[in-house]
Amino acid sequence: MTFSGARLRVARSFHGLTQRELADKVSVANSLIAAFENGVKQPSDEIREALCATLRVEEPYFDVAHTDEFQEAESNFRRRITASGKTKRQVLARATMFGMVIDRLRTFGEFPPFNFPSFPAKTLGDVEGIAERCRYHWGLGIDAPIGDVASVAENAGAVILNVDIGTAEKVDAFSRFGQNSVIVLNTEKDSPSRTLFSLAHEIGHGVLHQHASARSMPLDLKETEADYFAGAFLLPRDAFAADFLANRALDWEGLLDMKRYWRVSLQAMLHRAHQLRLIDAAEYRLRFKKLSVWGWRKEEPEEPAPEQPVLFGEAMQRAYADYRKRPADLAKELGWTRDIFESTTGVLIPDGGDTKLSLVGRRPLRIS
Amino acid sequence: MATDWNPSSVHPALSAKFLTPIADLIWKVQRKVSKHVQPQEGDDNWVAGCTAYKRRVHALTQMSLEEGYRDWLWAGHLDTQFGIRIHGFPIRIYRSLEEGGIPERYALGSPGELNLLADLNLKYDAIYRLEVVTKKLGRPLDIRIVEVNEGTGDITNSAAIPRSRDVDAPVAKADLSVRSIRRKPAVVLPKPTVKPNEEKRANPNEKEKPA
Repeated sequence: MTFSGARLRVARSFHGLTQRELADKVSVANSLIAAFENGVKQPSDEIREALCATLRVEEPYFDVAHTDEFQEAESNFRRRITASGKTKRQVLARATMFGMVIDRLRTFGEFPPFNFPSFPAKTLGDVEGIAERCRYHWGLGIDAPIGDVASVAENAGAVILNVDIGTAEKVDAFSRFGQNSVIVLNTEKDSPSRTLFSLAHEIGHGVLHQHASARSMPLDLKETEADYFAGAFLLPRDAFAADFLANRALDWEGLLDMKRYWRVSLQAMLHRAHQLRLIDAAEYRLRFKKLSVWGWRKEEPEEPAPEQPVLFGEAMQRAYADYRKRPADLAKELGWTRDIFESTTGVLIPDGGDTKLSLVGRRPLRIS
Repeated sequence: MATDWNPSSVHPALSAKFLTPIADLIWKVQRKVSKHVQPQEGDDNWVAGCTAYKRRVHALTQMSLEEGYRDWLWAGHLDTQFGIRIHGFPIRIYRSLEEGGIPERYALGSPGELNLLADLNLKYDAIYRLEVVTKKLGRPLDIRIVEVNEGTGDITNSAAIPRSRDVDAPVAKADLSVRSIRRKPAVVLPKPTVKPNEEKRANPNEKEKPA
């Protein structure tokens, strides 16, 4: 019987456990857990059972030779500098588990093909043009807001997962592009305009940093480029500048009207206006001081309706419609308990023999 | 020349909010000078103009250092000519007589001024002037913001600057109805779908899981 050390590492990180904590829970030495994870040793049947019980998985979960484990080097975290390593590992594990479900669902239906163009930027100034090329590439033009950014990413082959990571855990978003392209968004902050910007930021990573040499780029530069991309992608320069300048007195009522139209936060619009030199540094600072005084830096008014990714739900429906695969069947095939399946996907598994698939009952996901 | 030209459509710095206090100050200086001109002692337009210029430079420089103004107003020399910058937007000032027209020396942009405008991504051939329209001996009539074609020296647009008593004129308000006409509706892509896979298409009755 094979035992996947990578899957053990993923399940442990998923629960936010260190090797020592897991070792204590299953009453083995710390070094033994490390040996299992590195493939140096195989657990006995007894330890295997204890690991399953502790990590809330079924035995088949470990019986997979190859696991597409998401690595930090190939992934992008939109986070503050204080985000802990534990949080990052947990988000990576969550995304890896989600990737396992997507892998399984790919056998039941064809997802949109990967369609993120690779446009590396030589300088930060290139990003402006790259964002416009992307808008043309995806048929968005450059003179109007994007009505549904999630659809853009999903039509290009990325599956989006909304997760409540928690305000204390300073990760806004995560993405990984390649065999399984996944974007994880932190919806805890309850600011749809901010989540939208995070999504555009992650799309920027997909376009700017999918080439191999991007792995050696300084993290700060990658984040700066992705931020620039997000601004230019959501607020194309000419259309935004014309709209901004039409706000004759630069009053707040006008800015809020622009927010309703562009669906981008006031802060991001002011940043973009400063970037395009529509306002100078003094005006920019003054505006941000006002935002702080009014408490709008944390909670802005006139938030747009949150976007709802649909691809994952579509795939679940396809699995049921064509193969009669209910969420419970998928969980069983993956070797997951009901609890793990629900907390990974947000899809509730109904009690008893109910065969009706409902995605309406998706519960908010939370990494705790 | 457009009669309904709205200068703040060029740049937010050209809104009444910023131009009005400057126009008020220039008006005050100009009136004071015109009261003290003494034609019987030999003062003429040239004297009134020079005095008004020197006092205007002094008053605007002082104003640019004051609390409430220094965040957005800069006054000093743009290359060799005196001018102001509102949020970085360069404007020079000239006095004209009732009959209008713009002296050639004011119709040329200095290299520094043109560079500042280029940095703001504006029209490459337009420069901006505050025109202090006076009667003879410096009595002020109007203060306007004008757009000048740098190549030909022609005034392409001109608008009166409201003084403080009418600072709440409609020009200071966002005209949302005008803007909404120009706006294009948001682009919405079709929702993504998961297609049946090829294996399923080949065996439509297949209900078991794929291998």
